[in-house]
Amino acid sequence: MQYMLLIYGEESKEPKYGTPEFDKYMGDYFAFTTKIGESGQMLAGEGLQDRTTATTVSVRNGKVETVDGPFAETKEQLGGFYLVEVKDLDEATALAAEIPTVKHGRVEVRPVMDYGNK
Amino acid sequence: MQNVKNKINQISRAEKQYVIASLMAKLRDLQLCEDSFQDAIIAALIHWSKNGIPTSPRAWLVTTAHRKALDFLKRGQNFRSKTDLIQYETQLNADENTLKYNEEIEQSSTQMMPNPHLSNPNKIDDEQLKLIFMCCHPAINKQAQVALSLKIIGGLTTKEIASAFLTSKTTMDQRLVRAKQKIKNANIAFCLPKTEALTERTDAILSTIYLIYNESYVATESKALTNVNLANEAITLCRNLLSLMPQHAETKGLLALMLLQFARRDARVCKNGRFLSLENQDRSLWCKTKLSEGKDLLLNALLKQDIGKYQLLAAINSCHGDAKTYEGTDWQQIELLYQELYKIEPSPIVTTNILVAKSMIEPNNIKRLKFIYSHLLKLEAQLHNYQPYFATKADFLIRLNQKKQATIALQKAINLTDNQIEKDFLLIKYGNLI
Repeated sequence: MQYMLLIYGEESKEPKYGTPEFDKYMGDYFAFTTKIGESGQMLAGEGLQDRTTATTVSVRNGKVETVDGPFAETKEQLGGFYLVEVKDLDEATALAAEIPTVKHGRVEVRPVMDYGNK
Repeated sequence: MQNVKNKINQISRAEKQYVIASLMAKLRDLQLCEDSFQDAIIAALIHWSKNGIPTSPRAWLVTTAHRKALDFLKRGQNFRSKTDLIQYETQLNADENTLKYNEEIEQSSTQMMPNPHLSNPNKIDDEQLKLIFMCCHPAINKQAQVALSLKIIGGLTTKEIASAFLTSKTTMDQRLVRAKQKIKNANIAFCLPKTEALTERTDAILSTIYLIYNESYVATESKALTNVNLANEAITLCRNLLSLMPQHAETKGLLALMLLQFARRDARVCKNGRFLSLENQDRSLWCKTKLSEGKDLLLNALLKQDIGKYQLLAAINSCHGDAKTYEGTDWQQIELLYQELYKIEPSPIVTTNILVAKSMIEPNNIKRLKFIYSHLLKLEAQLHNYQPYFATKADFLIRLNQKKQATIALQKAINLTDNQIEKDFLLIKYGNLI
């Protein structure tokens, strides 16, 4: 079963670039990504650029509206994701608990829709 | 006929969890399992009314429910693949062969029927435990865990659960449907948790059971016209869990705790329906049988040397149970037990209880009382929304003979509760002061 692990963090709480904490943070990410890559659990995964780069698009009455900024202005913002293939929710949440950002942010675990043709 | 119907209702309640556990092991879809179980009960109503109740109703229900599920799956395309379906049917046929499933023999109800799905007792325990762990999975919201446990494990109807929680059947139905969909769609596993998650997951079950127990106070005290007694349901669920995990100290501790508290139930309310605090209860009304069962369980749990929150709370309640009078209670022991509890659960609520126990050790030493009261005040910022804090504060002030201050604290406590019985209790105290 596929799950999307959506990583939400507060930018102000992340370790600052150039500090030893930042190096460790990145190192932890690298180790985790390598681990789930080698185990075959990771189908995809990326980090996203910060919220100031976000653009939100909607179409109303046939008219495209493009707005600067993320969809929801909350403290914790989507910062990256992993798409994983695991047996069940317990395995997915166990992986989520290993994502470095989870220590100051949160990870939302969402099962991927199954259209029955996999 | 009516007799058979009543009997079937009883059997249905008692056997539901076994049948559902057996179905879940194969089907993974809780809604389908429940529907198949319901179909089997309808079949039982027809067959058993005619032919009498079989020797092993459980085996009959398990087999019939599996058949009903298979029929349903064959009609639709809900099964993941044809191969799975064929496998399921083959397995079922094989099981039924070993069972020598034969309607005539079975309906003559003279022969004991072995049950293929439940033939290995360890396996039954495992399947049932899996079901409990699933119903109390932390990914399901707590209220829904409560409802699911009562429905699936306790075998109550949605209507009964709704009435016990004073909500409508529709609301309860929605809550249950959402939970079942979450289990299915998010693929909450039907399995025993991994060793490293076992403690946390078992704690979740215990807290759900204790929540059901505590709800019983709200439900009964709001004079709900219901024949469902949530306290009894919680105790039954806990007994059930303990039979599956007989070595688990905290499960034993929780059962002990609930029995020790439940023993005082009749004494908590006086004739006119008013709440009586521990201090004013007629101790001869306490149920001796429950007190002694609770105490035995607690002593047994403590032998495991795996102390936890519920064992400590049970020990505290046991001290109260042993005491002939409120003043004669072993407050020193109670204080020590709360100190231990604080190590596990460092909360200002526990600190409040420590201070109350301390204040009772030398109840007439005013200097000491004043000193303890000054410590109590330090908790106010953290507990400004907690009714029992202000009730406790008022008690201290009454003992210190500061009546005016006490009325202010009581007023705060009154404003913080929605429970009419608690409100009445506080209002009487208030009335005595002015």
